[in-house]
Amino acid sequence: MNRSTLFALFIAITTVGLVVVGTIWPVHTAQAMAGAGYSFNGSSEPQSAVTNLLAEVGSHDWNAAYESLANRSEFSEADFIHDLNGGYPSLRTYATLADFSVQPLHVLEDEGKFRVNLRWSSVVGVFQESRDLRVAKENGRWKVVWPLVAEQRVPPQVIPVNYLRWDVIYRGPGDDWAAQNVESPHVRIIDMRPIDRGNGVSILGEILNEDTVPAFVTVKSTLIGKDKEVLGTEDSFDKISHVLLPKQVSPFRIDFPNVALSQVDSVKMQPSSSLIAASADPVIEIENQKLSGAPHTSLTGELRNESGQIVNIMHVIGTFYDNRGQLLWVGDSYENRALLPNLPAKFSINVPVDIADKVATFRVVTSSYSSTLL
Amino acid sequence: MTQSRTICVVLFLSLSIWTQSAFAASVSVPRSAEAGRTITISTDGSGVGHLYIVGPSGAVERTIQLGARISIPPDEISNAGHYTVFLITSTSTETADLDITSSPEAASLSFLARPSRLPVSLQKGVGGVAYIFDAYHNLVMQSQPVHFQLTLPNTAPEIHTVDSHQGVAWIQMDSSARAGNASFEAAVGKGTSLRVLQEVPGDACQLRMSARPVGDRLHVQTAPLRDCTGNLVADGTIVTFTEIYDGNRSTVDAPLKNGIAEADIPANRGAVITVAAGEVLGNQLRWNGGQ
Repeated sequence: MNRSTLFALFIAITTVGLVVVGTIWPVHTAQAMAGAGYSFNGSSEPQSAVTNLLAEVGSHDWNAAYESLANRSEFSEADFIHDLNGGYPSLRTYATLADFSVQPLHVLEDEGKFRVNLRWSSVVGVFQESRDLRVAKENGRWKVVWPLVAEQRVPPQVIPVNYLRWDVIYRGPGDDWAAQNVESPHVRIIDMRPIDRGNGVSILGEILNEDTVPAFVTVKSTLIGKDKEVLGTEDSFDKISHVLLPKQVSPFRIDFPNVALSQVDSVKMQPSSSLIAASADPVIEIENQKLSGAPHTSLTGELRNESGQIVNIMHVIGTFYDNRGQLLWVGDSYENRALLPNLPAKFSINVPVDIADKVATFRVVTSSYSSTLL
Repeated sequence: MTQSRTICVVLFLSLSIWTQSAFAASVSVPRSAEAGRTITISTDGSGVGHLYIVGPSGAVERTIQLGARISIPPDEISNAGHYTVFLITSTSTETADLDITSSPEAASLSFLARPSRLPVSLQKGVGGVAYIFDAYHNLVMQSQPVHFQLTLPNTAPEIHTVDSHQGVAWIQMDSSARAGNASFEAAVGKGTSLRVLQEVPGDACQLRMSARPVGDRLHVQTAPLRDCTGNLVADGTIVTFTEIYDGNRSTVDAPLKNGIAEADIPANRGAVITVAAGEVLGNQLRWNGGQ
């Protein structure tokens, strides 16, 4: 028997072994997500009722999930779907329930309460949601009483807006060779600081659009080692507000995993900008910004959309400074529900524990994405 | 490329000497000629010969009757440069030099204007370079007066005339004190070329705001924001309103429109409201409920 045959045999045996292990001792949530224990008529165990419901939500089997609820007469199936999926297109609409955990709070003979932690997977990462679900026994079967959070709706209306918009005419292929193209916006990095984060290096900074036209900006960074070797090149990806209006400043953060600051000799920064057709709409007010205390320090506040446009995805970026005005951290969060005109929505940005007690001031900026195509 | 082509032509012509029968001949061409003029070439002798004119961007071939005058129309040899004329007969090869010069009449120009966007009142901030061409796209080497004109709407144009040198004329001008889209035009002969330069206002010089209650909110608005030469600061420039109340902060980044930025913020009695645009700080208000 040659070596490749042995290897193939090893893979086959391992695969069969894993299948057997997975069948005999399945992961609880995976089992639920796969539809095991599925029942229209409720469950014989209170926790199974919760697990079944979440499994149906995870597989987008809305009808089955709605039908299994104890209080479905209180709201429609559409309301139930909007509660979980969002009534307006948003990150939540395209998120999938990646995982959940169920924690019993109390269980009596004919009712119980469970805390469920839902982990939704979206294009910009995972967001979590926690809900307390009550279960009740009806005709010998356990059913979930869904705590519907009715999503706010904007009444039909016409909201006039007269914000600015910039369009760009670029040089065309038929133009004389001497016809100049419109210049890229002038942007400048006004602050930059590398920090060691234990599991890597982060480059924190701020970039200013010092021009009079909107700019689409990106920042790339290269770490140079002691022997002038390149340790890595990364860009700010989504830890930046890419569209900057005139005189607007955006923080940025560039992460280099698995690099120690002691290895770094120098940092090469490459800001770039290009003209972009942009709009000054919408204007977002950030109300009641407050830094909560330890142990789970976070910057909280409320976002208020002052224009008439529905914002589908809202990105909030916080910059944290120490008492000398030095950059300490750049953090961000996404709102998973659409931001409706003049209806405040809460946001929260986590601050790392080791940085939290040094924060003296902070600044928050937002960037928004609106699209009827979402 | 031209050289190798010339060598090929010469080899070919040398071969053809052995195959053709004719009497010895000579060729007479003008030493130089302007692009756009008919070129007349004289030969003597009798019989049949081949005339080749090899230049920087091509070659012309004619089978001619020796002793006749040959006219080459302008569109066949229009590129300025050095040409070599070959007259091949069965017994000899005659050569002559011909220089085609550009026409002194400017027909078009290529105009480079830099930058496309610049602040107002910038000394020598506007640069323009004009390359002057004749009707056959040859660089016109003779000096030509080129007119540069920088015009902002509703202002008198700034006009300068510069003589070209070796086909190029250039100028540096100050940007005007008024903001706006300036037309920058270069003209020579019948040729004109227009560029648009955006002369943009500078940073805000003074920033003031006022506040008034609107329902349960407070409407804050800046006075028209101008730079230090009196231009309205560029539309879209971000003005940040900040309200501090009870340890909480609310901020709005509002874009300027027609020099004014406005936003609605919470109406909290005792709140302190500040305004800033870039590095310019404005006045501070303490809201006491409108009293």
